[in-house]
Amino acid sequence: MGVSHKMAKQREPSDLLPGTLDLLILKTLTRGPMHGYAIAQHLRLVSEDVLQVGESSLYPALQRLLLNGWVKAEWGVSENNRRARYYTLATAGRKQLRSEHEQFDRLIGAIQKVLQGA
Amino acid sequence: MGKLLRRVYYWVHQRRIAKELSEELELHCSLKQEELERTGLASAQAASQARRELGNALLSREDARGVWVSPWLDQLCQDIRYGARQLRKNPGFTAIAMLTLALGIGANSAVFSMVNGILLEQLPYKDPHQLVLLSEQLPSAPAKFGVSPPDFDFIRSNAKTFSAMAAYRTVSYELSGVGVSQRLTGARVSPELFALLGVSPDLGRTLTLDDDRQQSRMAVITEGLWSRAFGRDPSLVGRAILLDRLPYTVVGIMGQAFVFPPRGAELNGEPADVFTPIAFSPAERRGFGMSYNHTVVARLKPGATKEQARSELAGLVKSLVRIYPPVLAPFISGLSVPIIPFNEELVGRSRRLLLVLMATVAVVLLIACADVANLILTRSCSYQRDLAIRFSLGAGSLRLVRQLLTEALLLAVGAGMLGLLLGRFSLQAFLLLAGQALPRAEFVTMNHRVVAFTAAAALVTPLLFATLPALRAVFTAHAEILKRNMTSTTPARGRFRLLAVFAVSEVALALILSFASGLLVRSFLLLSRTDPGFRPERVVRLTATLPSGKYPAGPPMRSFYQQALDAVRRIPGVFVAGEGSDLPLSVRERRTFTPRGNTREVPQTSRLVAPTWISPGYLEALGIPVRRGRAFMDGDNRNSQLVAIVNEVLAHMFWPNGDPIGNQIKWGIEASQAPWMTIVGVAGDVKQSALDTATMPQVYVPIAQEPLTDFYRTVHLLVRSDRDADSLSFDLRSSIHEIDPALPVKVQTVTEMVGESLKRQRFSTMLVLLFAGIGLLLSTLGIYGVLANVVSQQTKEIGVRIALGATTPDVIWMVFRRAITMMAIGSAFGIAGAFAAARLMSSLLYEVRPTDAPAFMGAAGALALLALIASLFPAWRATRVDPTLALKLE
Repeated sequence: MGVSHKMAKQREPSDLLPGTLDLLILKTLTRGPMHGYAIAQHLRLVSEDVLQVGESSLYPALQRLLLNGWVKAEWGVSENNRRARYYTLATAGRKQLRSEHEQFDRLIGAIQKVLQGA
Repeated sequence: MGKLLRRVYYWVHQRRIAKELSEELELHCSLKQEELERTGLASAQAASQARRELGNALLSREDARGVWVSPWLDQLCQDIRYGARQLRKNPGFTAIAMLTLALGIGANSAVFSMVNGILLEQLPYKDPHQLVLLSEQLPSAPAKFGVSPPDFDFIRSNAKTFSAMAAYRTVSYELSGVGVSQRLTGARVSPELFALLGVSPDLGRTLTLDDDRQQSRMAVITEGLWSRAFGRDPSLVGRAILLDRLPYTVVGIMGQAFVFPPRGAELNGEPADVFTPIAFSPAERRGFGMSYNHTVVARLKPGATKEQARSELAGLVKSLVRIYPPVLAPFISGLSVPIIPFNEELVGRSRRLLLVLMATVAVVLLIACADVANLILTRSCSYQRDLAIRFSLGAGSLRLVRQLLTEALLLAVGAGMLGLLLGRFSLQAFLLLAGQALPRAEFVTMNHRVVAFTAAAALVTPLLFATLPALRAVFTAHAEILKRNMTSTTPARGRFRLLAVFAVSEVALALILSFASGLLVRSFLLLSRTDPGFRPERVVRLTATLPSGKYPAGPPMRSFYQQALDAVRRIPGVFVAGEGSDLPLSVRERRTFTPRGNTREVPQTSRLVAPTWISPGYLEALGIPVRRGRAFMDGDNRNSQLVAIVNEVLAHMFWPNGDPIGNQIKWGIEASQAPWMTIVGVAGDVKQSALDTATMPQVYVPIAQEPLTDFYRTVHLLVRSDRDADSLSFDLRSSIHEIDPALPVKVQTVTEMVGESLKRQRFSTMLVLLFAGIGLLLSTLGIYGVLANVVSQQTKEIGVRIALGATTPDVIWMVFRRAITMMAIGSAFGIAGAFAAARLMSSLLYEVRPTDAPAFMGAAGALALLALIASLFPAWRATRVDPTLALKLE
């Protein structure tokens, strides 16, 4: 499953199961504070180019995580001395990550059973 | 909770946060560009590709913002800001629209205050819905009357559906010894009354059973009296005050909120300043068949219903009648004890009036809304163009309609606040006009319920006046962007149709209003022209009540009566003077009587008469004609034959074909021991209670031949003279004060007295006239708006017609014709409503039928005038159209 990002006036609905993007971002942030571009890049690299998250999905998702208090944001300096906003995982976020991960595993397990079964 | 706080934080810092997000997106874009360059793309290409991949930054920002602030909230704020700006840009429209709406809303606010205070507010006692009033009634008597003491005792001891019962009677006391002597309204009450009502005093105590049993002179006063007469002297409790020149000990002072009896009851319905024990004497307790003038208030037991109480009372009355002295039995057969909820007694008669007023102002508000709708429809072309542009930029139809409605809402909110202010001031004026005519006027204020109602009314109006215009505007904007030119005439035609719809509805509503007010005016005029039976011009009355402290019953009172009459007769300029126990329009007593001497057979129960004790001169002073026989003379005194004068109603009832003169009557039933009086004259009929109540039998008896008891404490002196009323009043007062300097007197012209009896009808008529006037004015403006619009839209056509030879009258007729068409259609729709309104009002009308022709003519005339005035200016404008200019107009 991948996120396709079209450059059209209308946005297309995400191909991911709803809420998966939040899970991926939270997991990414366990590696440490990152700015938005870094998160997108990480996802692309680790998934070997399958998951390409566009800005139109990423930043709203990050805002959502901020609203729920799962991540915190701070302005800092990036590698090339640019001003960038770094997101860190909050304690509530860690808990959320755990529960969402469990839910996801359960869901995937169920789907796999169906696919493998009769 | 944390989420909510974070949202608030976002709201407060939204600008900074939005900027930060832009910065973030910029960084993201340049980092992507760098990466692309690293993969070998040229700088410029990398830049443009990065930007392309960034996609619609605006949408990202909007989605990001959408996480924090729900989009509809954002849109609402936007709509409000936009609407406010539009309203500011068109100050003329905004001012007129707001004022128009405010008039309608203000009227509704004022009237609802009255409805709220009078009909909706609970009485200020504990559990007021459990309180009922008892009275007594006989099938023959026109109205129910009060309760007699032995009947009260009996019912109280035996009724089981009530937890408590108390009797009371309004009395008048003279308060002396503090400043100027004044008359107070007092009430003699059962001591249980205070506990029954669930009220307690601010200071001291209320009355006890002992006070009542021992008939001690104790009094409880109100906070109002304490302030007014005693300067809130804290040592008053325990001290004595002089009531009717007798000392009464003040035992308690009630709080400010206590009002009793509440204003509005027919019997004993005047709020009292002082309460004394009812203290029935043993004679009163045994006095069956007398003193039916007490009001009894009772509290139902919890769980008991009025129906249970009614059936219990019906049974008790049977037993009660059996313990009456047998000689009274034929008289009280058919006696009943009706009960009525306390509140109903007070406001029942005003309910219809208030409903009519509410309906009237609702109609006025509808007309105001139609006016504003017309104003919206005739707004500038630039406004329409504005809409069309926004539509073509992608705004959804629904969104545009919502925005227009939000603007309308802003207008309504402003109008609502202005209306509340207007309502407050008009309410003061209305209450002043109403005076005593409205019951429970003390409770009429603008409280939170009124404000809530006003707000609701204000918020509903945009739906009425803005929905159709908004829908029309948006859908024609939709059509307009398909054409290139913005001055098409077809939308104008559709707009005219809608304008006409509103105008026609205004005409219909205006017809209803003018018909209703016409009916009331006719009714009022008929009522005020009703012959009261006497001639009120050039008569002045002086009323005094003799305090029992100085004038015990009997000779002292008689001496005052004689001295007062003599003194008044000596005043220069007085043609004739007389005294009496009652005045027309306020005859108090009802008695039974028995006639003798070939009379017609009339059942005992119908022999109820209104007696009045008078001196020689009374009939002449009031101008009551003596149709047969003679009036009383000085020769009719204690030593001469007992005489009486009857009125025409009584004469016709018992001697329809003969002459009552020479026959005899006596008080009481057949078997009574009262002496026979010989009829010496027949007087013309006068109205005894109100101008719209039929005259009942009346008997006049000379004061000189009557032993004067407490009933005669109140004496009315009547003086007919050509002198100016003020100087005459002054002389009258001085004469009486020469006899008794401390006696408070009331002096008034009889014309004024008659006018006072019409206060209620005057109030309702004037108010409805006022509202109808406002409604008609608004309708005229509405029609004018439509016609003005017609002329400006059809300038070209008018120009063509003039060029083709139309004369001035032709052009004027073009405009008039439209006005008349609207009037005709509107009237057709309005007629049904007008008759419905008339039926609603029928109980308020006096001798005017709902199909009254003059009122209808008046209404039609008013509408015709309305059409004429509305057409004047547009017709004039039409004649000034320069055909050459008009033809050039594109």
